Amino acid sequence: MSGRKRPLDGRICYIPRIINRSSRLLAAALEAAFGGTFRIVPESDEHTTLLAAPHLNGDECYPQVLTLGDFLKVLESPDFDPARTAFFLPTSSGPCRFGQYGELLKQVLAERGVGNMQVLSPGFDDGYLGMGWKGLRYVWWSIILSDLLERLLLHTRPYEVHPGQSDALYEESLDVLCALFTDPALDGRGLLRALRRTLAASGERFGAIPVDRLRPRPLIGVVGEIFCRLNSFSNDQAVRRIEAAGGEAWMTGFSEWLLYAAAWDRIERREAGRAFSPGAWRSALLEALLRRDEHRLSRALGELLAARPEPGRVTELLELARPYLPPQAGLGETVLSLGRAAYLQRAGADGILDISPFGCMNGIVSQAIYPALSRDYGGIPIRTLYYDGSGGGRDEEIALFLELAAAYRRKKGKKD
Amino acid sequence: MIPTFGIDIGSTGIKAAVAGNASALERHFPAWRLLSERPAGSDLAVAVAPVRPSGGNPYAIVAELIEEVAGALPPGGRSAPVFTGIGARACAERFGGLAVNDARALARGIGLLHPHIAHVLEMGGARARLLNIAADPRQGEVLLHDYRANGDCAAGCGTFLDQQARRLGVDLAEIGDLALQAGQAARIAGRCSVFARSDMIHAQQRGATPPEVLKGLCDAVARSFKGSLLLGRDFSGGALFVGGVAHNAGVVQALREALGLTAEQLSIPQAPAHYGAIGAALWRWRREAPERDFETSKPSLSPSPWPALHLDQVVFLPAVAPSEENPHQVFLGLDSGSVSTNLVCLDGEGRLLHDFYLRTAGRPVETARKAFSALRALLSPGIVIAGVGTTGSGRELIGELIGADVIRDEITAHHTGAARMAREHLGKDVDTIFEIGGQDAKYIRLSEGVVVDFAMNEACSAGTGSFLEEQAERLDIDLCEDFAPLALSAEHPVRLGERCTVFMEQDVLERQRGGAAPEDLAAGLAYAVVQNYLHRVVRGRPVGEVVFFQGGTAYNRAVAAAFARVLGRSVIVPPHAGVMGAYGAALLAMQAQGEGPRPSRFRGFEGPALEEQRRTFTCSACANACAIQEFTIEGRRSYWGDRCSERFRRPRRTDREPIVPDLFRLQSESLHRNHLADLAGDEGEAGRRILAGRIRRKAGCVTPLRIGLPLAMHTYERLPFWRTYIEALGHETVLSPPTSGVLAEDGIEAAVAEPCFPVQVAHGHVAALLQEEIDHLLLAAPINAETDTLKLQSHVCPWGQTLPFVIGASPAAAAARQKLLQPVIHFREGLARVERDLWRTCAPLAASRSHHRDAVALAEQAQLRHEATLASAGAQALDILERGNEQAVVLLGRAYNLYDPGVNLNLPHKLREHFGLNVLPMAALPLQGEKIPCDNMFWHSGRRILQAASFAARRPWLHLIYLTNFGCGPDSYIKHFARSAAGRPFLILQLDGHNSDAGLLTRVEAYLHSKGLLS
Repeated sequence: MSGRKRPLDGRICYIPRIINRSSRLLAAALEAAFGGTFRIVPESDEHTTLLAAPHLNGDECYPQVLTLGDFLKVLESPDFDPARTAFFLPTSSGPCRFGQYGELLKQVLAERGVGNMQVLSPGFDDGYLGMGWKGLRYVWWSIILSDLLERLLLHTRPYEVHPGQSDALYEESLDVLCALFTDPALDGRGLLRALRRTLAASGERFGAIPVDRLRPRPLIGVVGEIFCRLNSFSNDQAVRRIEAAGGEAWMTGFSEWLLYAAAWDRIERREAGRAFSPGAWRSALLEALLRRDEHRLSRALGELLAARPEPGRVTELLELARPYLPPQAGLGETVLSLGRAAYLQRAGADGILDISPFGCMNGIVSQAIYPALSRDYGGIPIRTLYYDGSGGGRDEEIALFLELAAAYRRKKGKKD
Repeated sequence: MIPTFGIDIGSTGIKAAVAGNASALERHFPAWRLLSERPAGSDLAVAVAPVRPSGGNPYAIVAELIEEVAGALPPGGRSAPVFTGIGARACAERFGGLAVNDARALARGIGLLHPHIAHVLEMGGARARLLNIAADPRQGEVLLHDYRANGDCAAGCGTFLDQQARRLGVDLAEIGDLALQAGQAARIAGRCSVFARSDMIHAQQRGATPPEVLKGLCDAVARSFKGSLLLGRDFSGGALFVGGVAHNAGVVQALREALGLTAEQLSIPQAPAHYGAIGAALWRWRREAPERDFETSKPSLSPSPWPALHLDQVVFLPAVAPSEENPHQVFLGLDSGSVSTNLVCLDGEGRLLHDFYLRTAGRPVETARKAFSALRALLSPGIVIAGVGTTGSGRELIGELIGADVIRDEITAHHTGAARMAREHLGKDVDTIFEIGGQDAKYIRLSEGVVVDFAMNEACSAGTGSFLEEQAERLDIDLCEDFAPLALSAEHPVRLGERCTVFMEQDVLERQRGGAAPEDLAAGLAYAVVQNYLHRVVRGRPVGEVVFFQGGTAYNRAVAAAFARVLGRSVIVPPHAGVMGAYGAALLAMQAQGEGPRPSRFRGFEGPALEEQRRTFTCSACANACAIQEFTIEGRRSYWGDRCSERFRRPRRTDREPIVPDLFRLQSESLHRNHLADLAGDEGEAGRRILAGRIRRKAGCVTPLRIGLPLAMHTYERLPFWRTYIEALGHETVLSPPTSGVLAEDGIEAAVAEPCFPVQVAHGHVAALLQEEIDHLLLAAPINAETDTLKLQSHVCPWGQTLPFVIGASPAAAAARQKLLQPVIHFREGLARVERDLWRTCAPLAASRSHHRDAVALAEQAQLRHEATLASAGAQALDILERGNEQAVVLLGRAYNLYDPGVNLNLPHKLREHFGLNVLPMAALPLQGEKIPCDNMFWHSGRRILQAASFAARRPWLHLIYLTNFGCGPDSYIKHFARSAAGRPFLILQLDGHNSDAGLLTRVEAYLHSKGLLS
C-alpha cells in the first residue's frame, strides 16, 4: 500500500483490534492518510472462535484465531459486499508466525469464494514504509497517542477515588483525538499541533482526577506478544485483573514495535556490510523522524508520566537483552520482551508478567531465559501467562504473583 | 479460646481443620484427628477431619461440614469459616466467611506448623506446586518468596493418577502399594498426561502387568513434577511433601529417587492433604489487622448456551437377524482396544450372531480370553470357525495368540464394517465415518467404497470416549444408563472450550463450581466431544451425505444428537455401533476366505497356556533398555515391547521388496563420512588439494582441542560442514551419542519451558556432551539457510535460532558457560558472511584469519559434496521408480525428524523393512525453483516442504508422509499450505516423547492400506 495513492478505491477497510480500545484511533489515522473508510472489526466474542475454527487445525496461535474469526464476522454481515470491502492486516517476514496470518487469511477467503478481496498488508522489512511517509507518520502518531493515553490511564485508574472517572476521560480523549484526525481542515504539521494541544489538555484533566496513592500497589511490568498483550479480549482482561488484585500494571505499548522495525532495518544493513546504502540512510531518517514525533507528543504531558518513562532508544532494550540473547538471534518480540523486562526492573517494577498466546514460540524462548535474567536482576519475579481463549484460574495466579511482587518490593525496600 | 475453622475445597477432596485448645478439640471433635504438630510457641492445637470426596455437589459437603462444626461447638463458641481452594469465593458468598488464596493458605499452614521448612512440594488433585516460604511464628508471619505451579499441564498431579488407576480397575488408595510390588517399571512419557496415557495403554497391550504400569506411572508423575517444577533446585537441606498424592507410597518413593533425597530430606507431615485447610483455620492467628484479600471482579465472559439436544436428525439402523440360528460355520472378529475388547461372531453371510463388549481394564489377554469363553458357551459343539480377524491396538498380540487369519489396522476394519452396513441397510455407500473409541478418534472419507481420506487424532485424546467416561464419573453420572437421557433433557447445554482433555476437565470443574446444572453440563460435554472431534480430527475436511457415527461413543445418543445439531444434517448410527471394528475384522477374515478357502489358523477357544510361557527381560542392545516380553506359542517365540532393536523386530508384513537403495542409510553414511580426508585425497581437484595442504600446515600450528558438537537439530543436515570446519582448524570433533530413550528423557527434563520434542532432545545431547572431556561446546545459531529465491527470507524457526542461548541460560549449562561457542550464522548471506559470523566467536580456534577462511571454504565444499551425494542418489532413485513403474513414499519434514532414528522411532527403516516400500527423503528430490502455493513462506524448511509436496503433486506415484512435532509453530501453518500444494491427502505423523511405535505404525498401516500400497 502506498500513501501517495488511494488504495481503497471506495472500499470499506476493516482493521483488527490490535491496540485495544484505541484501535479506533488507528482507524481514524489511516482514514486521514489514505482517504476512504476504515473501520475496526466487530468486538471479539465466542462467535469469533467458532467462525475461525473450521478453517484452522487448532495448532495456530490465538491471535490468528481472533483476527481470522473477526474478519469472517464481517463476511457474515448482511450488507457485506466483497467488491466494496478490504481488510488491513500488517505482515512480517518472520521468523514468528504472525507473518503467516495474511497468507492463511487469503487462503480462507479463497475457500469462501471471495479470493479476490483486497487485503492490505504493510510489511516489517522496510520499517512499514510501504505505507508511505505520510501514512506511516499518521499511523505512528495514532500509536504514540494511544500508548500515552494508556499509560496515563493505567497510572491513574488503580488509585482513583471515584471509580470509572479515568476510563471515562480516556474514552472522551480518544473521541476528541479521532475527530482531529478526520477533520479535513487539519493536515501535516497542523494536525500534529492540534493533537499535541488536545493531548496536553487530556493530560491536565488526568492530573486533576482525585487519587489516593497512600496505599502502595505492587508495580507489574507487562511484556510479551504484542496482540495478546494489548488486546484485552485475548488476555481475558489481564490488566483489570492485576488492578483488581491490588497491583498497578505498566503495559509495554505498541510503539516499541514500530521503533524496533525502523531500528532493525538499520542494524541489519550494518550487519550485512551495507551501513552506507541508500536504504540504510532511509531507515536512519525514518527512525529519527519517529523519535522526534514521539518526543514532541510525549512532551505535551510534562511530568505526568515521569514515573513511567520510556527508554531513550529502542536499542537500549536490545543491549539489555544482549547478555542473554544477541539481537541477531532473538529476532522480534523475544529480544524485546527480555530487554523490556530488564528495563522495567531498573525503572522500578516489582514484578514482570509476560502475556503471550499458548504455544507462542517467542514466548517459550523468553520463558526459558527469564530465570537467568531474574537471577541477575535481584530475583525479580517474572512469570509467563499463556492464553488460548479457554480462560479460568487466572485470578488466583495473578493474585499469587502479586504476593511475590509485594515480597520482592519489601526486600527491595529493605536494601534501599 | 474460640476455635477457628478452615475448609479447603480441592478438586477431588474437601478437607477441613479446626484450631483451638487441644482438650476442647478432643472433646468436641472426637472423630477428627488431633495433630501433634502445633504452631511453635503456643498452646494452640489443630485437628483435621477425614477427607471427603468432592463428588458432584461440593456445596452439599461443605454445608455438612459447617453443620458438623456448628453442632459440635456451643453457640457463640465459633468463628466464621475461612475457605480456600477452587470454590472458596463461591462458598464464602454462599455460607458467609472469608475466602483466601490457597497457596497462601498452604504456605501459612506449613509455615506455622513447620517453621524450619523453606521448600514445600505439593501434589494435589489438580495442582502441583513448589513453594518457597519463610516463617516467623512468633509474629504469626509467613512470607511467600517464590512459587512454581504446574499451570496448564496436569501431568504431575493426583487427578491424573486417579484417572489411570480407575482405568486399570485399581482403587486410588492401592496405587502406592501395588507400584511398590513391581520389579520393573513400564516406561511412560513424563510431561504430558495425554501421551502418558497412550503409552500406558500400549504398555498394557504389550503385556506389562498393572503393578509395572502403576510403577511406571508413579515414576512418570515424579519425573514430570521434577521436570516442570523442581529442576535446578537443591532440596538436600530438607523439604516437605504435601497434598493428597503424598499419601501415595509409590509416588513418594519415585520422587525421592528422582530427586536423590532420603526420607529425612523429603519428609511427609502427619496430615499432608490438610495444610490448605490448616492454613485457613490459622489465617487470623496472631494477625492484628485482617490482611488485604484478593477479591476480584471477574469480567463476565460467559458464552451463550448451546441449543437443546434432539434426536430428530439421528437415524438408528435396526439390526438384521441372521437367517439361521445355528449355522455350521462362523467367522470371528476381535477388536482389542484401549478401553474395550469387542468380539463378534458372524454367520457365513456376514450376519451378526453374537457380539460382546467388554472392558479391557488393562488386561487385554485375559479380557480376550473372557470374551472367547463367553462366546464358546453360546456356540453349538462342532461348529466350524472358518476364519478369524483381529484389529485394535492389541491386534498383533492377540492375533498371534489366538492364531488370527487376518490382522488389520482399526481404520481398515471400521470402514469395511460400515461399508457393508450401509449397503445392507440403506442400499447406498457410506461416504463419511466418524469413529470415536476410547483413545482413538478417526475420520474416514470414502468414495464409491474406497477410502480416499482419513484422519486420526494426532497424539491428542480430546474428542474421544475416555474423556466423556472420566467426566461422567467425576460428575457421578452413569455413562451407560443415565448420561444420554440426562443430556437430552438439558435446556441450556453449557458451552465448554474446545481444548485438550486435561484442560477441559478443569473447565468442567469450574463450571460445576459456578453452579451449572448436571444436565446442562452433561449436554455440554456431549457438544464438547463433538467440537473437539470436528476441530482436531476432521479439521475442515469435507463431511458427506451418508455420515456414519460409530465406535463405543456412538452408544451415547446425546453425542449422536450433538453431531446432528452441530453439522445440521442427519447422522446414522449403525446397529452394534460399538463393535464395528470387530465386525469389520470378521468381514475381512470372511473376504480372505473367499479369495481361496483354506483352514483357519485359529488355535481354538482354549488358546495356548500363555502365562506359563511368558518371559520378561530387558534388551541390552542399546541404551533404550526396552522391557521385552517373550511369548512362546506352540514352540514359536514372539517378542513384544521392543522399541528399537534389530534383534527383536516385528516380522515382515509383506513379501514386497523395495527397488531403490536405502537413501536414509546413504544419507547417514554421507553425513558421518570424513569429508575432509576425501577432499584432501588424491582424487580431489588441484585447487582443493592446495587448500587442503595449506590447511594441514596451518592446523599444525594450533593446540588441538576437543570440540563438542551435539548431533541434534540442524546438525542432521550440516554435520559435514561443522565437522570439516572443526577438523580443518586442527581440532577434534566430539559428537554426542545417538538419540536414545534415556537421552531424550534427560533432554525433556533439562528443557526449561515447553519447546518441541527435537529441541528438548537437543538439550539431552548437550547434557551428554557436558559429561565428556571437552574443551569447547560448539552450539551454532543458524538464523537462515541458503535459498533458491532472494525475494523471501529463509529463516530457521525461532527455537532453532535461539537454542544455543536458551541452553546457555539453562541451569544445567550454567557451570559450563565459558566452554560454549555460540556463533550466530547467516547461511543465506553467502560464505563471506558465514566466515565473518564464525570469526567473531571462533577466532581463538584458528591459527590466523586466512586459516579460518580456508577452513570455512573447505567446510562448505564438504557440505556441498554431502548434498550432491543425496541429490544424485535421489535422481537415480526417481529414475528407477519411473522406469519400473513403481510407487514410493516421500517423507516430508525437517532433517532432525527425518534422519534421527531416536526421534522418528526408525520409521524410514520400518517402512522399508516391514512394508517393503521405496522411501525417499524430501532432500533427495530436485526441488530447485519448484513453485509453492504461499507468497510469504519465510521459513526455509517450510519452503522446502511445500516444494516437495508440489513436486509430488504432479507424480501420483509419490505418496507423502509428513513428520512433524507437537507444538511446532511453523508447521501449524505449513500443514495448511502443504494440503494445497500436494492436492491430495497425505499422512501427518506427530513425533513426541512417545516411547511406543504401536500408535505410529497403526497410522502408517492404515494410510498404506487406504492408498492400496499394502496387499
